[in-house]
Order: sequence, then C-alpha cells, then structure tokens
Amino acid sequence: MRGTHREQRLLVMPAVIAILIIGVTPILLQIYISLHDYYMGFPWQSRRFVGMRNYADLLRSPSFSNSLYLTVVFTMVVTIASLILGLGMAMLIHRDFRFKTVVITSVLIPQTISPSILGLIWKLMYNAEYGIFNYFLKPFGLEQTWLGRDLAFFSTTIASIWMATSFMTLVCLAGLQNLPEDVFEAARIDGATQVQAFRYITLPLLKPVIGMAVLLQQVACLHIFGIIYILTGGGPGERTNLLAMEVYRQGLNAGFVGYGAAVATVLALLAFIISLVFIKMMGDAF
Amino acid sequence: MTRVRLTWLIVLAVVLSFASMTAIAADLPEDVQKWCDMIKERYGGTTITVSMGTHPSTDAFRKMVDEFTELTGINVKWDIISEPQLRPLHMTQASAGTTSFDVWMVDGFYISEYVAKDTLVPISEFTANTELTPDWFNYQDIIPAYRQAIASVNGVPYAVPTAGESRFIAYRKDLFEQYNIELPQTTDELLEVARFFAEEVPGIYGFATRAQRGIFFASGWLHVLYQFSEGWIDQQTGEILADMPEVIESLKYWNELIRTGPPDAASYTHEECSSAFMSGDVAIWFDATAIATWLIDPEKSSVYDQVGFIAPPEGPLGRYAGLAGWSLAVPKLTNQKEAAWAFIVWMTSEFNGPKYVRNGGVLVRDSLLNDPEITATHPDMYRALGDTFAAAKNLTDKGLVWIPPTWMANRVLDLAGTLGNQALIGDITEEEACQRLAEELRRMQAIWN
Repeated sequence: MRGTHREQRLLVMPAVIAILIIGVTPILLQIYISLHDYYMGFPWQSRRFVGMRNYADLLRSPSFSNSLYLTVVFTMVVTIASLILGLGMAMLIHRDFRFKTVVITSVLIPQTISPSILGLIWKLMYNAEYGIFNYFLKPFGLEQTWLGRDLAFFSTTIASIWMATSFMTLVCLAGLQNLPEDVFEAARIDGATQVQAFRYITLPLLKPVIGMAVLLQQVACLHIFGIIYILTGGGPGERTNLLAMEVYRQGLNAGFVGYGAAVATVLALLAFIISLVFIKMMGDAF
Repeated sequence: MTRVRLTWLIVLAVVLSFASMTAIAADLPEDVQKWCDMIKERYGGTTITVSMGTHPSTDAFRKMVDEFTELTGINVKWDIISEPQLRPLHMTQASAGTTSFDVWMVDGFYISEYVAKDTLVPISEFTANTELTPDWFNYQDIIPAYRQAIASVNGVPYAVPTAGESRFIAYRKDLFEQYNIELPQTTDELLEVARFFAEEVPGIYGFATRAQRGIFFASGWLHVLYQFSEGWIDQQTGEILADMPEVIESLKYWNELIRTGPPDAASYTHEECSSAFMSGDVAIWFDATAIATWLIDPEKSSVYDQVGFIAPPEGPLGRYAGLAGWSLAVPKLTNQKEAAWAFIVWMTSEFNGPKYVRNGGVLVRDSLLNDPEITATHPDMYRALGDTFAAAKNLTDKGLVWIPPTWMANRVLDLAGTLGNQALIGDITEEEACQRLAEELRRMQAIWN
C-alpha cells in the first residue's frame, strides 16, 4: 500500500508543481512587491522595503474602503441574481422543443464575446441620447441617465448580471442533464408536484453543481474589470470603482506598483476567504 | 496554358516589377535616393518592430511602409494596441530592463515620465549625424510649440512629433445664425451661449466635451485652467497651487459648462461627445483638433455642412490652449537604434509630409499648415487651428508647459480628473475637490522630488 501511495504522489506531482509555479509563485511575488515602494519604469533595483506601509495607506484611503464596499455588494448581487435567472433559464431549456439548439447557442453568446466589446455594446445601449433603452422609454417620459451618478452602479450591475447569467445557465443546464431520470419517475408515481420535485429532488441533487458555479462566479465578480473599464472607467466619481479597477488605477495607471500590489493582495485574500467560507458552508456537497 | 505562354507571363511580371521599382526610384530626388541607398547598404535586411496605438497617424504610416521597406530594405513589424495601454506596456518592459520594440509611440502627456525614467534616446544623438538625418527631414519645420510641448523635456528633444493636437471649439453655424448668436470670444460669453442653447432651445444641449473621470476630465479642465490661474503646480517654484481660489474658480467654470450638456456627460469620452455633436443634439463641441475632421465628414456627421470652428476662449488671465499629441521615439533598450531612426526619418520627414497628411495623418509641420492645397479643404478649420496654436504659444511664451512637468503626471491627471468628476456629479464641492487635490499633490511631491 505504501508503494501505491508513493506512486499516487508521484503521478500528481507534475500537476502540483505546475500549480505551484503558475499559481502560487506570482502571488508570493505580488506579496513581496506589496512590501516595497516601487514605481513602474524605474529599475527593479530601485525598490525600497517599507514593510506594511502600503497596507496602512490603503486602510486609511477612502477610495479603497469605497472600492471594497462596492465590490462586496456587486459580488453578492450579481451572483445571486445570475443564479436565480440562470437556474430558471436552465429549467426552461431542459426539455425538448423546436430550435433548442438555437436557444442554447444564443445563451452562449455573452461567453464568446470579449468583456471590453460587451462594455462598448452596453455603453451604446445606455447612452442617454441615442441609446436603445431610452429610445423605447422616451415616448413614455421614462428616459434615464443610465451612466449618471445615481444609476451607474445599477447599470453596471445589470450588464454584469446579463453576462453572468449565461455562465450560470450553461452550468445548471449541464447539471440538470446529468440528473438521474428514475428519481423523478419515482416522484411522479408517488404524486409529487413539479414544485415539490424541484424543491426536494432537483435542488439537492444540483447542490454540488450550483455550489461550484456560485464559487466560480463569486471569484469572477471579485476580479471584474474589462466591462467596467469600458462602461464607466470606474466613474462617475467613484461610483463604480471596484477593487480590480483600483488595482489598475494604482498599479498600472499611476505606476505605484507597490501600492497596487497591496490592493491586489487584499483582493486575492478576499477571494480566498469568501471561497473558504463558501466551501465550508457547502459541506459534503464538495 | 502552354509552357511558352507561361514563360512570357513570368518574364512580363518580372519586368513590370522592376519597372515599378524603378518608377519609385525615378520619382525620388537625388538626395533622397542617396539616403535610401545608404540605409539599405547598412541596415537592409533588418526587421524592426514599431509599437503604436490605434490612431490616424498609425494608419497613415502603415500606408507608407511598403515604400519604406522597398527603398531601405528594412522590414517593419507592427504592434498596435489601444492608446491608453501604450505607456503601461512600455513602462512594464522598462522595469524589466528590456523592450521588444525598436520604435515607441509616446504620448506627450507622459514625455516627462519617459525621460525621468531614462527610457528614451535624445534625438540629438541622431540629428547630429548628417548621414543618418538628411536635410529633407527638416526637424525645424515641425511646429515649434509641438516640438517643445510634447516631445522635449527641459528643452531637450527626445522624440519627433507625429500627431500634435490641441482643443478648440466647433459650433453649429445654422443654430447660431437662426438665433442670431455672436461667436463667443471670452469664457463668460462661451458659458452664456451654452446656457442659452441648453435652457432656451428645445432639444438642443449647450456644450459637449469629454468628462469621464480620470485623464478625460483632467485634460478638459486643463484647457481652461490657465485662463484663470497659474495651474495646479507653480512650474517655477514647485509650490502647490491647486487649492488657490483661482483654480477653484476654473473648476467651477468648467463644471458649469459641462452641465449645459447631455445629462450623462460625466461618462463621456471623446467618442460620446463627438457623437452627440454629430447627431445634431449639441450646439457647441470642445475637443481635440485631431478629430475635428469627424464632424465635417459626410459619412459620420449629420451636421457635416453646418460646422464652424473657433479658437478656445479668452479668460481673465488671457487666451491659452493646451498642446498634446504623439511622437515617435527610440527607446534606449533597443539594439537597432539607427534602423529605428531611419524609419522615423522617413515617416516624419518634410519630404513625406504631404503624403502623410493625404493618407490621413495629422498635420504637425509649419510648411503644411500654410500649404494652400491642404488648407483649402476647410479654410475655417485651419484658420481656427492657427489661432489655437497661437493661443498655445501664449502659454509656452509664459514659460509654462500645459501638462504638469513631473514623472507622476499620469497620477496627477488621474487624481485631478477623478476629483473634478466627483465635483461635477455633486458628490463633493469644487472647493473640496481642489483641497483634496492639493493635499495629495503635496504628499506626492515628496516622492517625485
């Protein structure tokens, strides 16, 4: 048996090494940089160790605390909304009907388009003067300033829910298609209604799949950047300045690489903690 | 096809190729041909990689590159990305002590940063060599304000301007005539006219410009800043001036102007503000001279034949304009400096200036600004352009550079643009915005000094 265990370890070792090199090393380097004052463009040797000063600065920064708050709210809203919509759409598609292939392909579209292109498309639609939303709302006097101060965060969230729902639909549909039919057959024979079947059979059986989808979507939300960069640039003001935007602003735009790395490390830590808590909550499902 | 016929076709193709090559050569003046031959002998077979942004100047150079390769034997690879990504890309490579490019397209906003980080070769190293830099390149013909403002630091040139721009005003001639409005010459008049259209004319907004937070907003604010004040930073003493009453007044003025425009102007880049004007919704547009041709393009603009142009307005301290734009530079880290310089010489020379402009390039030379063939295409626009450059010269004559001359310019602009945008949407007052800007600038000054 010991020989077998050694063989097992040897067989997984290449994957472990790859993950360590590709996944863990950049994070360690990021943490290292976050402990330094370093400005992009200057020689690497110019970095200066400052300990936790970058972290102290970001904790004092109103911009950072605003970004943290927005990111948490955004992640919760987009994840929950896309899960409900995605599961609903998957339930609707999970049957035989004409043009089913076309519908499934349409659901795929947001996944195939780059987030920056999606941002451009939504920006055009949200335009207060010639956007399509206001085109239909204007005759009723209901036109809005979708990317103005009051609605920018809402509009960004809606666009992101649209993107995320596609992912959730596909994952839930794949899960539904793998559920055993005989359990539902038995429930039908026992007189269970569709709602009861959904609540007591579908949901529990789908728990691992939903759990994984929610976990992945949460992480995706925490790191969202492309669509926001194009849609609002993090504005107006700081209304949509989520953490990933703040990393870009500080680290790449301003060139404050040390401070930007500190923000990125906090973001990574947030993703780790949320994932850990969620996995614990899911218990045996994982 | 018979073998004989095929043979004759091949011979004909070869003859025609030689004919076309000699045709190119036959059109060249003797000194140009001599330079091309010298470059070919020394650097023929080299491949250089050019890092540029999506821009009309890039499109124009790409149309000219086949001829350059034919004549010099230097092959050109292009790496074209969106403009805002160029600086981070170049700086990331510089941090690593390397570059994969031989020519960099450099934004005038950041030339101080590029130089402070010792990433560019001063062009004097090339211009001093009369073999490499022939007379027909004529650096002195490039508009002096561009040379100084966007391609030099402390009087030392580090790049060659390829697409200079300022900002000026476009207005709807038909609306101004209909409502009998005189062209605004001062800041007060401009605001009054913008308010008139916004408040009195149904379906028309007063003023459109880029105002999205960050550099978009800041670059617009900079265009009225010097009309009211000496800027955010005293460029002689380094004293931070951002919380002075004059600076606050300039921000209040700028935000009042923007508020006469579309309600979502706080998220506008140059694309949205130009689209608003081109769709006929706005009476006055204030944005880059480099994209003014969009407004008079029948394929883009629904008001193309109703557009007039004037220079920026005069404020309490005078009439000033900013100068921004793009240049081509040779990074210190390349191993092919001379071949890179040959590319820059060919593309930006006075000799090829008309070809560059005909291919859609942006005018940067005095000789072209006064070329009747070019200015005849839209005399009103070129007259306003000349007036705008004169306003820009007022600023340089005062010893001021439009963009704060610090290697942290990008951070300064991002900060000013974010705080200004917050004041625009009412999250904070203009006073708070300027006070916070001043506090942050004082903190940053300890670093950049």
